[in-house]
Amino acid sequence: MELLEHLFLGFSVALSPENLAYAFGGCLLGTLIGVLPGIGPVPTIALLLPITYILPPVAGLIMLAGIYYGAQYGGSTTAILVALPGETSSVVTVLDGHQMARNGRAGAALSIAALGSFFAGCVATLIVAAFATPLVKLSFKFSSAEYFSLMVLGLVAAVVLASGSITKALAMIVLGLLLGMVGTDINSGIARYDFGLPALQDGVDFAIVAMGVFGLAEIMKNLEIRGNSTKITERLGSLYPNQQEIRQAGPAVLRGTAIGSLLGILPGAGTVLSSFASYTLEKRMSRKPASFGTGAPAGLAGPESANNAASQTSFIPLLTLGIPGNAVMALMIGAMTIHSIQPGPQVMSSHPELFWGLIASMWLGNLILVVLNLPLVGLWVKLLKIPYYLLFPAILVFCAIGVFSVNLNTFDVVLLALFAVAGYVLSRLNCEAAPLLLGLVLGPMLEENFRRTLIVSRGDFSIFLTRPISLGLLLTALVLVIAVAIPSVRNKRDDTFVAED
Amino acid sequence: MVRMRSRQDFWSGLLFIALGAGFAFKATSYPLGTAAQMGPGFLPFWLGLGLSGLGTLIAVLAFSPNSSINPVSPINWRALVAISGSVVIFGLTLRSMGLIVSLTLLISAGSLAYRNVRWKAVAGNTVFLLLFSWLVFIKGLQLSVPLWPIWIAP
Repeated sequence: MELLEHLFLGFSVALSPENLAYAFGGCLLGTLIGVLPGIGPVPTIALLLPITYILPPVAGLIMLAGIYYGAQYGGSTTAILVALPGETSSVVTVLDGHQMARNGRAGAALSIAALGSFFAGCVATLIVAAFATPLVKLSFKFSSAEYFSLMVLGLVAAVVLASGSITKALAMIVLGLLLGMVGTDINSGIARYDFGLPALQDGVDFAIVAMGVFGLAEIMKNLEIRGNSTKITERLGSLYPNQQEIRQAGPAVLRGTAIGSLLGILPGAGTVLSSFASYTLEKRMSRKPASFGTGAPAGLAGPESANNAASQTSFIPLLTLGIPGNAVMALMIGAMTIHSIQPGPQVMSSHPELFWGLIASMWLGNLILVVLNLPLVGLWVKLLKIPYYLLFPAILVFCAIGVFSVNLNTFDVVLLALFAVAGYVLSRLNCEAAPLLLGLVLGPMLEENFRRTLIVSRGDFSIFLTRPISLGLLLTALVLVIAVAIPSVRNKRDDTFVAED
Repeated sequence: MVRMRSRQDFWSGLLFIALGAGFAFKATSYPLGTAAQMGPGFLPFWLGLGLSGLGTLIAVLAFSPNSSINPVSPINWRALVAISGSVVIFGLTLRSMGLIVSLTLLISAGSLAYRNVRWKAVAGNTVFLLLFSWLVFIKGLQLSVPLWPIWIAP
């Protein structure tokens, strides 16, 4: 009953009035910003990151996790009411969720999404708690060679599961890794790529890059599309789903939770993949597949549960191995480092209160969101009406002051402008920014483990292939690459991602 | 005659080649070391070459008959200049002019990014955001930054 003991410790941390307040504040702020059209979880977290820096580590991470769930919930609300998905995983929510809203069932759609996500969140939190201990034990068998191979697998998976061109995503990862090399080399003390600027000797702060390419570049993109007013579903209808809706949504929630929990553990775009997979499955299982796309409750409940379960279990690689599976987790890692917690398997034993407190707060966060979201729906609808020309200066202010507050350095603000321009130009060339951020965060870790491994093996590269776990990880990465190169899989992948446009 | 099909891919390929070459070239000024004793230049050098290689592949494939035809999406210069410029102005003026002045500059210059600027709305928005930032960042988060220009502040 070790698990119960751990959960008890976790809840005693998460339920302290202070931490509960931060979890609540995080959920509220996350929803508040996530609800705004076109702002997904990554920009939301990047925007609010500096606020969590001044908190103690446990409170800061609990709040950050709350912001993440809040942003996702907010994103679903926007997807259902305005058909403007803030991120790829809520694209599926638009398909049937928005149709339900147009059929006068907006309230019921919001309830189904919220309750389905809550159920998925409960199950996924238990899974995270149950898997954490054995996985941490396994990870102690890991040496630097395994860590390196695991990071390679994570990066490859992120490329394979992302949308768009694979070669371009690979190039963006390498560019991110190179940006991660900027700053003082820990082994030799030589400052690399600092151009004589003291501010660059500590490296490029990932918060600056995140706010530049996700916050500001996003504004430049949105200013082109937006401008034409959007239609908002104002008549919410009853918040209670009727019996028929419950009958159809119930089993979909169960299946969605299972799919999401499983796929979320995969590094890469686990949440995106799981919502698409769940939607496809529900459509296949349905007796009336034709009803999908016209407001089928199962088509909303399945993907919403799947994506919430996946966003929960995506914490597993981060918490047990210290390896971020997606851009959001990369931001979490950055936040941990700023609180001088070295992410990795030792976190569980060295900071048990943080580890289990964070897990317990996941469940609490889900509960808070159900309690928060349904009564406040009226407020979210009002927020959706804020015109973009009033909204974007606010984002601008948040990014500028936020970046300054990280190091109290005005040079960082100028750097922010540079990354905004870079992010915008890259988006014009259809290069996705998420792999860049993942590379940037993983860069220093990857280099460290790579160098350490080769020191041990005296420069012999075959060490990555002679250690069984390392070999297995690299083979998995290879299989993923080959699988995507096969034409039939390729077409299927393209189809899946075309559906989102 | 081989025709270029994806302009997006071609130009991003060239960009990656240039960036990779830049990183690799600069890496040669740091000790490279050997595989067993890597210097600080080792990984950046090879990653830079790798990036150039990927860039070449991307640029060449832009001519492949299988790649889709796509032009580079038009650049919204107005938004690009207004957003990045206003942030630079904010960064350069914050220390000497204080939060109130440099935020006002940031918001008014940034608002130019929107084609039909409504100055009344901008003014209202500025007042609101100034109050909000003062409450959140100065009062709430205790950010140590001057509020007024240095020659006015006591």
